[in-house]
Amino acid sequence: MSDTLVTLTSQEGKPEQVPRRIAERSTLLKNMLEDVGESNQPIPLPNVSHKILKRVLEYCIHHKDDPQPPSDDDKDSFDSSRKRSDDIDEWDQKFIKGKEEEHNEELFQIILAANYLDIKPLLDLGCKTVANMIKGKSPEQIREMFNIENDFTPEEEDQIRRENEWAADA
Amino acid sequence: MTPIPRPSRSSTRTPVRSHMSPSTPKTTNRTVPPLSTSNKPEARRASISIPSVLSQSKTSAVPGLPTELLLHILAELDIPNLCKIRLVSRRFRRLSNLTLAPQIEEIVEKMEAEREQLHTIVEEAQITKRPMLRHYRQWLRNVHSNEVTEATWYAKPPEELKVVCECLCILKGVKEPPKTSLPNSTPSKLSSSSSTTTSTTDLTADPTDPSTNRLTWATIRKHMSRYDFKTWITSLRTSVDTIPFSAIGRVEQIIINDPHITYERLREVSTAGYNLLILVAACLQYCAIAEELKVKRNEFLVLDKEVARLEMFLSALEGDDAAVAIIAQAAKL
Repeated sequence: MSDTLVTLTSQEGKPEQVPRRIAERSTLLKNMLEDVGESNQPIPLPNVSHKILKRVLEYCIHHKDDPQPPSDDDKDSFDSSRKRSDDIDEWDQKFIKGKEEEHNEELFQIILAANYLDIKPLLDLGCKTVANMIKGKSPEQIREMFNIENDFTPEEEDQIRRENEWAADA
Repeated sequence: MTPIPRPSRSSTRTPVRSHMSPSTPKTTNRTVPPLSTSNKPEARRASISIPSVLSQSKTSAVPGLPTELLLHILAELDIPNLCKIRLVSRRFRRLSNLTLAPQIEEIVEKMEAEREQLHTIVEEAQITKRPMLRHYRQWLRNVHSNEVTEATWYAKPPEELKVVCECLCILKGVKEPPKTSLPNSTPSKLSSSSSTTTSTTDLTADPTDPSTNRLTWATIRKHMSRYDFKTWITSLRTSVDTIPFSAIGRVEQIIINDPHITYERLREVSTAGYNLLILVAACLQYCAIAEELKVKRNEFLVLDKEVARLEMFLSALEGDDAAVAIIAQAAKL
């Protein structure tokens, strides 16, 4: 059963065939396939572009032999064993880096797709990568990097700086 | 064959877990004080409600991500980075506050427990050490200036007496005057005369090193003959707390490194010297205990101040500005 092929249809309507075992890295697809049983019908994924779907499947193929993340009931034990944000596998680092010129855009789309498809390790990888991009940057650099508008008044900024001083030693 | 429905199970899922919720001597026993103090104690599955992320997924900016995913990202950051995120925008400030609050709460709880423990240690130490302080202060009570007069009578005192008098001078804060030039000497004479001077002060020398900065008998004698020295020594009972701890350390090193400085030896060479040695030892013991208590008290005060600051920060995170103002005023920060 695990060797059967599943057809996934991207946002653009393009089909992508993958072994069921690979598709089941997505908890969403796994649950759905279990509910429906044997079927040759393509699964529509209207929220994932074909380009991102291929990237996600690339990740799933590489991690096909990884143990499945724990269920919701075991979430706490999984969380306690989560890797630190600076402890990312070399292949994962290269994968998430993607093409330099479209790094940010693709990264966020992968995060959204991982969240939609419920692929926790990929979601964690995406979030850790964004977190690593933030680390050590000034608020101005973070705004510039992620195109965020500064909507504070100078007085508010001063107030926040003062508050932050209270946590300086925490 | 049943057509595969569009994914809908997700609506029953739990949202992304943001990882942000952490959830002595007897006072009556007039035994002479020991000479050394060296033995002193020391979000997920966000509602994958097949969200209308189509439009969101086209944006390259972080703000395009749903709140639960931003919280997931922030959960990967440490406190200093989260504090910086508070300065990025209003939305990011709110999200950082949500992530920071439970972390800070946890730290405050731990620190409060530590503060309580430290408070108990300070209280217990005070109860235990107070009788010791009283005991050593007793030895500073009946000091007569006669002993000082007697000791300074010597033109060339026994070495042990000289060392004890030097210790007293160090406790008083006496320093060897720097080398001075002779008024009528020419530069060439100056250099020759200075070479004959034995009492010099090396200002770069380690003050705790007993082999450096030693006082000459002339300096000791001059200072001990002054009226203010006698006043100081007779009022040591009340002024002992003003002796700097660095002086205590220096005197202790002198005594430890000189095997001839014992009560027995002093009793043999000079009764005045013996009585003055008791005085020096009492000062050492008293100041060592007082310093130990001071260090513990300061440790408690530093932690107390840190807890107060973090409580103010927590109030700010929770948006309770009024409380922040009250606490800030109370802490006078």
